Amino acid sequence: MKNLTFKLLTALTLASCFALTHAGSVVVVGKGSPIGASNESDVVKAFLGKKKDLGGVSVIPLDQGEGNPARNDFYANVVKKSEAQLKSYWSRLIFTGKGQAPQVVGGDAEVKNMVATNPNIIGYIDESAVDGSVKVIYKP
Amino acid sequence: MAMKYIACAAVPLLMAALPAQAVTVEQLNQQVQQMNKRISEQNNKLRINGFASFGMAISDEEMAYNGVNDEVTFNRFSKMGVQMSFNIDAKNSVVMQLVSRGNEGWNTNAEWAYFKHDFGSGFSGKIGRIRLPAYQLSEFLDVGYATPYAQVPAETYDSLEPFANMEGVDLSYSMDLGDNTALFQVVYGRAKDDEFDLKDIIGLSGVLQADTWNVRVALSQASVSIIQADAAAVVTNFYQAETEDLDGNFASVGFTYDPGDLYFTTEYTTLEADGQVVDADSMYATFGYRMGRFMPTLTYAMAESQDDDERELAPAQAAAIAGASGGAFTTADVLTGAAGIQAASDRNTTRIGLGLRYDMSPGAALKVQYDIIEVDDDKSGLFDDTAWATNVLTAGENPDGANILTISIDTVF
Repeated sequence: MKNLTFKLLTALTLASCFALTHAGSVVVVGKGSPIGASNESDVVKAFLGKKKDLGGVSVIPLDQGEGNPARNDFYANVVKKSEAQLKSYWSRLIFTGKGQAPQVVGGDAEVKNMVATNPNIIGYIDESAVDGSVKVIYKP
Repeated sequence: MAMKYIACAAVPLLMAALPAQAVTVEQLNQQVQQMNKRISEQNNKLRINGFASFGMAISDEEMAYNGVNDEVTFNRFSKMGVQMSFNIDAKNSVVMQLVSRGNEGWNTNAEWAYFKHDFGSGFSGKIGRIRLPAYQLSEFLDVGYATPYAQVPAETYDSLEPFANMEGVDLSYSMDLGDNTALFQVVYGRAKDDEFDLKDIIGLSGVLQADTWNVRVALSQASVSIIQADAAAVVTNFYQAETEDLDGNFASVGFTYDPGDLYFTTEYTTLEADGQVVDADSMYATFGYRMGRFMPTLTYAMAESQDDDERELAPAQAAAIAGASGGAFTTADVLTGAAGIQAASDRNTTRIGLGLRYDMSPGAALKVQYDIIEVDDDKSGLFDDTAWATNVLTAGENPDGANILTISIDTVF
């Protein structure tokens, strides 16, 4: 009986964890990257090109293509900008020679591949896609 | 028996499949490495970006206001630009922006052409053809997509429009102030068009940029010479005023609040120059509210010349000119003529603009803007100055306003 209660509790805890974190983006780096846990403000600045390093380590942010769920979630809930606002923001920097928007890759899997090969690359993926190849540095 | 046969056959098939799969993983890894290399290469090499605005505008007034009259124009606000940024290495880059404008017969002009060096610690410098950072929107004035307007408030942006660009040097510094960023810029250079030559331009700008708002202050000064021969002759002969090396000063204060759904931006400018060059104050303010893909805006803009009295022709001078004409003109004729010329340069104009921006897709916006222009005290504002002066001289009637419709599609790519 005790054993069953424990199992039930474990199952419930797991289920609630899953429910809480499902369909949310997390910011990741390669598992061997020296970039450590970062706060929301720094992460947002890194993706908007306002900050070139996190904790002294230079960063190369990587975007997912428009329409990817992880991108939608990341920009809507973390950066809090619509796609149109984002485009306006970047066009102001690009056409004044002040910056360039991050490079774009296909999806969660591609982000994981990319961060694994360069310790300076940071990206966002759906939390359900997190595995041993990446290290989460920011979770909303 | 059949089962076993299949199982046996599957073994060699699996054997064949395994190395094939191994190759695929290796290929994938290679692809990733190549992509990674490409990304770092792209970060270091050529980047091409473009923007374009295609639109139409029409007014209910025969006399053109800011280049728009009652015959539809597809050229006035249409333009296309391509920017090439070539990063030589991490510290040095070259940028060229070529823009073709409909109202200049689609001739292509280099708006930016400069070399940039990053000194580190927030300092960077540019040399070449750069933008005079006079206005809040100066640096992305041509990029319609980055502004809420189908046409920017000309009451403010007309004054220095010919001098958007200059040849010179720029030193910029950016620093973090807590969560905010402060940017400072100093420029020095020269700009010239067919009418004016601006020497020893010194421009200073400071921006405090927070998450949801920014404040900007800019000062520019230059030594102004009137080089258009007819205008210089009129100023010299009639007004006996100087045409060279006049002190000119320009100041702008801007504020933008953009927390999300709400949008507010405002700017106040003042232009002062010695002699017969028109001094004018201007301001605009725009409220907007985002509702999904739509953003309705309301804009108020005004411009008023400040030195009308100083630019009047002295009666003694008018009498002298009349005398010199050998009886062809009376003093009153000369004064009327001078008043006509002056009325065409004095300004007292307001704009109320209703706008709607619709983001068709990220990177493309459709804008519709309806502007109600009012001109007070017979001071021409931005109406065609030759037509205005002619009306004054021939006792014709000048308009006291205009309603203008502007539609544009603005893109960045």
